Amino acid sequence: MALQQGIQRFTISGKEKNMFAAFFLSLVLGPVGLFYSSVKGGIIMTLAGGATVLLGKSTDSPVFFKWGLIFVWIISMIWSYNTAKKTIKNDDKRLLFRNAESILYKALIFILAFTITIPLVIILIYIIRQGITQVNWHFLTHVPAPVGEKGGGIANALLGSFLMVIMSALLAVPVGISAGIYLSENPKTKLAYYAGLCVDILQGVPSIVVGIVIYFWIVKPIGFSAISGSVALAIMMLPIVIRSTEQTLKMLPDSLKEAALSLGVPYHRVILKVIVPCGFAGILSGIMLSIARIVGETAPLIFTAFGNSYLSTNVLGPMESLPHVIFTYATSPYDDWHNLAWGASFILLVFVLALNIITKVITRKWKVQL
Amino acid sequence: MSAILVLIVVGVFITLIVQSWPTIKTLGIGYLWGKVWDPVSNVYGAYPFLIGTLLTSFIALFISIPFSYAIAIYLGEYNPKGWLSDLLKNTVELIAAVPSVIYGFWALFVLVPKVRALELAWHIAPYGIGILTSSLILAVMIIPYGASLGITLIRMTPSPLKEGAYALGATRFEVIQKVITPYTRSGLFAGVLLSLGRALGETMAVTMVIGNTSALANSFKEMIFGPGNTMASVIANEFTEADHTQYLSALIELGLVLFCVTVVINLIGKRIITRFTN
Repeated sequence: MALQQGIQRFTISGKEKNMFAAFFLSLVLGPVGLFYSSVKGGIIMTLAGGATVLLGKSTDSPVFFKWGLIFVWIISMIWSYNTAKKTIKNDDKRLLFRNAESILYKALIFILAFTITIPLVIILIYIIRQGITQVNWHFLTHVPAPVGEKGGGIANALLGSFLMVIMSALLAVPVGISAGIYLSENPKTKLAYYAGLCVDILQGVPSIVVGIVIYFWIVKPIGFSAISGSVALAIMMLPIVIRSTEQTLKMLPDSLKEAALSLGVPYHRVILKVIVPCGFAGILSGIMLSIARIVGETAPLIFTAFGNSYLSTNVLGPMESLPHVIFTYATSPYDDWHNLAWGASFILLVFVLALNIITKVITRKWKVQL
Repeated sequence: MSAILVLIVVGVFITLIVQSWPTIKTLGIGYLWGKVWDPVSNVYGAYPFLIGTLLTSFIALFISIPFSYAIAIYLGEYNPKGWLSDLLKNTVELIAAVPSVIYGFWALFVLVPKVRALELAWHIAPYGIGILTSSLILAVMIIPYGASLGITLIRMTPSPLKEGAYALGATRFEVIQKVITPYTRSGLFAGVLLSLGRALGETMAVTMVIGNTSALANSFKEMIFGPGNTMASVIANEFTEADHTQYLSALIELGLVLFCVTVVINLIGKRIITRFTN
């Protein structure tokens, strides 16, 4: 008898739906919560609720709308409780309560985690919608027109961003890769400890502080220039490049280096021709991530590269850049400048997202650990 | 080459100190709690900006903590692999990738009217821009930093601990609440610190939405819903207009305070993480 009861208690037949969780879910979500305990009932009650709302809105009568909805809600709660209760074999109230807690917590975490997709989707869609109408060939090849005149574009910003990013990369990549190589080859020296500390510090410094310092180092002597903007951006690129180089090279097996050394290859050749080409994918993704980061940075450029309404390739003079033009035109009171800013935001967004997606594809394809 | 790194950082620090020396000499430490910022009559006090920075950062932090915690638990414990978790992970990384000017631009044109309508409905002065709006957009921007750190740490809880709890009959929620959370508590705190460090230094999105008012608010409601200024936004706005050395060095001193605070917070956070992972 006891054995039969035991088998009855712990046999799993069909899926058990917790009745407290079912009740709470339909209390909060109404007819939609009924889906947890019975799909058929969920469909029926959701349709009924939808019909009530539509009827209430079209006939404009509060009775139908409010009372009908409350009626549907209560029916859903009772229905879900009863259907769930029938599937329960073991009615240990305390265990049921703990299970309900667990199920509801999972639902809460799920909802909270996925709400984060909503702002991102809204922002992306809004910018794409506003910006895509602005971008055409004229937009990409002309400088901004004076306020009130039609037309104009952001060619100076595109050229400026392009030049400054290339210059920063030329400055930061050699320094960053060599520092990363040094950190991964000699991790125990004092210089490595302090350099690691400085990388962490640089990573956390606000970008505007970097801009201030470059103002005093470079702008005071030679005036507002694209070079000063590039140096500021290069300082911000450095931590990312160094960290990714260091981690990529640390993940490489030691046997590679040992094999090359045992063949008599001089040390600098081992690094340049064996280790670095092996870690190339990781280093490249680090460089691309850092470029994606700095192409959108405005704060260092406000008082270093300063902005320029004309198409200029003079790197010793002020130069416009994409994020700076977005900032200037967005905070201006003119509508056609706002439109230019939307187009620029669209281009910047597409570029940054493309870089990030390419990086992800590279890391997944070459199985790099970043 | 790595020596260049150290030189850069030390150089940054020294330049900041040297350039703010005039203000440090004349106003001393009382600068930090001077309540009036009036460049025209050469009176400088950083208190309004300290309040603005602390308010925006902490409100943003409180709004974002539940979300980053939920993402970390979901991706670390409930759903580590699979297409849905890949989707969520990529979304979170994309949020971190979008430049901050774009967030500020969007907030200025979409969020501000909505907040204005809300304030009208609640019978508060309908500024629209202000500390609350900038905290909202900051919260969205700093969620990825806490979340990605949390995911790594939660995945690192040792399986024997969790399996022991399951063997004793714990439900999933109880394992998370009583095993994982106490184990990763210090690591999650470090994630919060890193998000805070990022929020403190954020300039562009905040500058575009905060209203740029360098005065102290009169009432609590106005402090939260009205315009204000943070240290970073006042530097961004007034740096190019600082004509005399006192003004300039007052701004640089703000930069020095920002530098020290973010460096300390980031270093503490990273130290906690390295101690946790060893």
